[in-house]
Amino acid sequence: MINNKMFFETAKKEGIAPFELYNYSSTSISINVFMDEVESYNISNDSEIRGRGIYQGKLGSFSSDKVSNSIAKMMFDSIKETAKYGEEYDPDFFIEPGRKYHRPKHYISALDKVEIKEYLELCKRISKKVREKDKRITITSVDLEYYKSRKSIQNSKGLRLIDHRNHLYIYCSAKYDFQGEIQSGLKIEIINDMDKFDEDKFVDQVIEKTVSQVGSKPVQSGKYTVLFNPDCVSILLSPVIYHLSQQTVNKHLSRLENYLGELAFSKKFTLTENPYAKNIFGAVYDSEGVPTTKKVLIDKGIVNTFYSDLQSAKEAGTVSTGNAAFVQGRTVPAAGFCQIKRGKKSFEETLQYIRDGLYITGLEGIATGLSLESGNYSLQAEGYLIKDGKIDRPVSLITVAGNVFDDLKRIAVISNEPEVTIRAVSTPHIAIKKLSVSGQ
Amino acid sequence: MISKKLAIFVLNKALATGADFAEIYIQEKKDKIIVLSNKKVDTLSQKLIFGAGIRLFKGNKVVYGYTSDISKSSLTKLAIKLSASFNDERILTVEKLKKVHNPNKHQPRIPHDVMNIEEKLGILRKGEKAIYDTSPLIVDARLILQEWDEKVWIYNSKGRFVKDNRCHTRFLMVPTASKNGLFQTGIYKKDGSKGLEIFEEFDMKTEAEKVAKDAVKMLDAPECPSGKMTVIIDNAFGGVIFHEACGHPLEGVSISHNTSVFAGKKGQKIASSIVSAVDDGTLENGWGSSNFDDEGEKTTKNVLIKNGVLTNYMVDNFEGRRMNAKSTGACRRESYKFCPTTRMTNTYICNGKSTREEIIKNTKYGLYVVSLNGGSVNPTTDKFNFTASKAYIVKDGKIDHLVKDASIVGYGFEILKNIDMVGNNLALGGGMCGASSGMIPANVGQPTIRVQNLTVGGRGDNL
Repeated sequence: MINNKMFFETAKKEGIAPFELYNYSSTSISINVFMDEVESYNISNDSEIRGRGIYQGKLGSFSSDKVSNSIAKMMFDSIKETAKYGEEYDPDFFIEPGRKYHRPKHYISALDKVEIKEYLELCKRISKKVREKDKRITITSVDLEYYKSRKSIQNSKGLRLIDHRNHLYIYCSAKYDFQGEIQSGLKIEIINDMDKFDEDKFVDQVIEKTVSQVGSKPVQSGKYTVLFNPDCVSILLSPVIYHLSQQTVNKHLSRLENYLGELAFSKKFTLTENPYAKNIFGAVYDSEGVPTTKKVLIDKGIVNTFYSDLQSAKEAGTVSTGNAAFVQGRTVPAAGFCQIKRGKKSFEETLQYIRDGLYITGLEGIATGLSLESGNYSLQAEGYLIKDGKIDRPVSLITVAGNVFDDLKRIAVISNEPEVTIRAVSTPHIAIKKLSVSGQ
Repeated sequence: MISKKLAIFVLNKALATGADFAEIYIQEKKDKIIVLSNKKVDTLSQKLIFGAGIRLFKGNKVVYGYTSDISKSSLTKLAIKLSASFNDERILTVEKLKKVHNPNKHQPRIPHDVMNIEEKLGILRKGEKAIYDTSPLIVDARLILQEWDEKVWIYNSKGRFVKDNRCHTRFLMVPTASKNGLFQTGIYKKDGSKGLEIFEEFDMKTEAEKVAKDAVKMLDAPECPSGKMTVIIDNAFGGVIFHEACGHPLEGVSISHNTSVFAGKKGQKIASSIVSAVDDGTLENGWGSSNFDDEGEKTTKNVLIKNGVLTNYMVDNFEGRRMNAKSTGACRRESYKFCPTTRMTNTYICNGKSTREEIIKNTKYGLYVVSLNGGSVNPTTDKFNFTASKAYIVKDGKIDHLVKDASIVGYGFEILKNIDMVGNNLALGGGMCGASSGMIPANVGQPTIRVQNLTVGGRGDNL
C-alpha cells in the first residue's frame, strides 16, 4: 500500500500541478495441462504505479512496477526531467470530477467463487476428451487463466475513478499426426459463466479446428472472391481503425482525413464503437477519466466521426470521444470494442451468393505483413475452396494480398451472423471481390 | 538485490513440499524511450521494471509465480503458495549459495548516462533533418531511441548465485512518404548489447537519406508479382527466414513435447549440405547476447546444423529433463513476469563460398529480397511466412526493378533443403522475438542465400 496523500503533497511541493496518480494491481492464476498432467501452474501478483503532471507548463510522466512510497523521489525527478523536453500541455486535460459515467459491469463475481481444483479438472477432461474423440490427434495442451484487477485514477482536481474487472479464458492446442501428415489447431474461448460453458462443444470445436486442414493444398494463383471469417475480418480492420484516430488525422497521416461526411467504403460497411457492450472489452471511462461514448464511425460507407482523446480533440476543434489510452508516457487515442453491422444472408446463403471463390479461416504474419500506414497486406492464409456455392476442399500455404481501404470498397456480401473475436471486434463474415491469391 | 540469507530461506520454504528444484529471479530494469515524430518530441518515457519470479520443478511439472514486492514476507508468501502445488516430503535443503562468475563481455563503451537527453535529442534531430531534406514527399519521420539498463540476480537450489548486468541500445528511423493519399514507410535499425557507441557505427546522414529514399521510391514501385519463384535473400536481417522457419522448431519446448517437425531428427540430414547454422549467446555485444541466460547458466555457442546435419537443439534445464539433454544456456524471458523457456539468442547461417554478385548473376528470374520486416512460424506444422520491406525483381542475372508488398510462405524443412547458393558475406540484424516467455531481443543473421521454388505473394500479376 502507498500513501496517496504523500504523493499528492509532494507533487504540489515540487511544483507539479495538476498531478495524476494511476494505480493498478492484479492477480492471476494460470494452469497448463499437457496431455493429461498438470505441467505448469503460475501465480502472478502484478502492480504498477504511474504519475503524470504538468511542470513549468509541460507534461512529464513516470511509471514503475515497484509500488511503494520509496519510489516517490524517482517519480518526481523523472516527471520533471521528461517535462523539460515535453510539449506545452493544457491543464484542462486533467479533468474535474462530476461527469456522468455508465455503471461498470466488468466484474463477474461468480468466476471468483470457482475452486482452482475445478479449473484443473476441466483442463484435464478437455485434454483427454479431444484425443479420445479423434485418435488421430496425438498431442493436446490446455491452458486456462483467471485474472482479476483493480485500477484507480486520481488527480489533484479531485477526480477519483475505480475499476474492477476479471476474466477467465481457456485455450486448447492440438497436434494431428496421422499417416505422415501433421496439422495443428487451437481454440480460445472467453468464459463469463462456468455454468454456461459447453465443454463438449468446445472439445468439438478444437477437433474441428485441428482436422479442418487435413489434406489441404494450395490453389492455383489468380484473382478470387474471398470470404473472410470473423477472426480474419477483425485482423484486416486494424488499419481502418488506425486511420480513424483523430491523432492520425491531425498528423495528416490518415487516408480518411478528407473523407469526413464522404463515401470512403462500400455502402454495405457500417462500423460502430460500442464501449458499453457487455463483454470483457467494455470500458466506462478512458485513461484521462473521460466517459467513453458509443458512436458510429463509418455509416453505410461514409466516414461519420473520428475517435479522440482530449488533446487530439482540442487540436481538431472538437470534444474528446473518451478514447484516451496511456502508451509510453503519454495518452493517445485508441478505439475500444467495435462492431461491424450484419448483412442479411446466412452463412450458407453467402456461400451460394459467392458461388466460386475462397473461404479464408486463418491469416498469419500479421505483425509484419499488414501495414497500418498504407493498409497494404500480403499474408499467409488457409481455409477452403468454395465451389458451386458450397465448401469444397481445404486450402493452405497460399498468400492473400490486397489493400484494406480499396478492398472495403469492393465488398461482395456480408453475412448475418456476427461473432465476437479476441481482437475486440464483433463482425460477421465479409466477402471481397477480386483479391490476389498466390499458390501453385 | 536480496541477501543470500534471505534467498536461502525463501528457497527452502519453496522446497518444503517435495520440489526437486527451486529458483529465485530478481530483475531491475530501467527502460527509457525517446521518440521524435511529427517534428517534435513525441515520447519521452522512463519506466522501472522491478520484481521477482520464483520457479519450482518437480519431475516434469513446473510452477511459477511473480511479484513486484521483494520483501521477505512477500517472497516467503509466494514461495509457500507455489509449494502448495506439491504435497510430498522435502527432498532437498539449500545450505549455501556460491557466486558463479563469468567475465562481462557485453559492457557498454559509452553508457547511457554519459549523455543527457538534450545531447541524445541532438543526435536524433540530425537524422530527422536528413530525412525531411531528402524529399518533399516525406510527411513524417519517426526516430526512436530505446535504452535498457538491467540487472538480474538468480539464486537456485543447486547452490548457484548469479548476477548479470545488461545494457541494450536500439535506434530506429521510420520515415513515411505520401503521394496522392497513399502512404509508404521505410525502416532503418541499429542495435546491440552495448551503449551509445552504436551511433559511432554508422553515418546518420547517409543512412537517414537512404531510408527516406526507400520510402519515397516505394510509392511508385509496382506490386510484387505472385507465384513460385527463386528467391535471393540478402544478408543480415534476411536471417529472419532461418529464425522463423527453423530456429523456433529447434527450441527445446517444441522438441521436448514432440510438437516440432525436427523432433527426433538429431544426427539426420535436414538441410542442404552447404548449410551450417549456429545459436551463439556469447557473441560480443550481440543484440541477443548475455553473460548468463535467465536461469543463470553461462551462454554458449551452440552449433545447430553442420553441413546439413542436425547436430543439436537449444535446451533449457526444464525442457532438458524430458529431452535428457543439458542446458545450452539459451533459457530466456522478457521480464520477471514470464516463466522462462528455451529461446534463440543470436542465430545465424554460417558463411558459404559465393559472392552476392555471383548469386544474382546466376539467377535467370527471381525475387531479390534486400530487407525483411519479419515473420512468424507454426512450429508444429513448420509453415512459416515473412514479408519483405525492400525487394527487387531479378531478370537475366541483373537487378531489374523495385517491387512492393512481397510476402513469402513455405515449409521450413523444405526451405532448408532448397537452399542452393550460400554467400560469403555473413552479417547480423537485430529484432524483437515474441513467444511464450515474452518479447526478447534476438539477432538473426546469414550471408546472402538463394532458395529455389518459394511461394511469393503480392498484388501484382501471377507469373
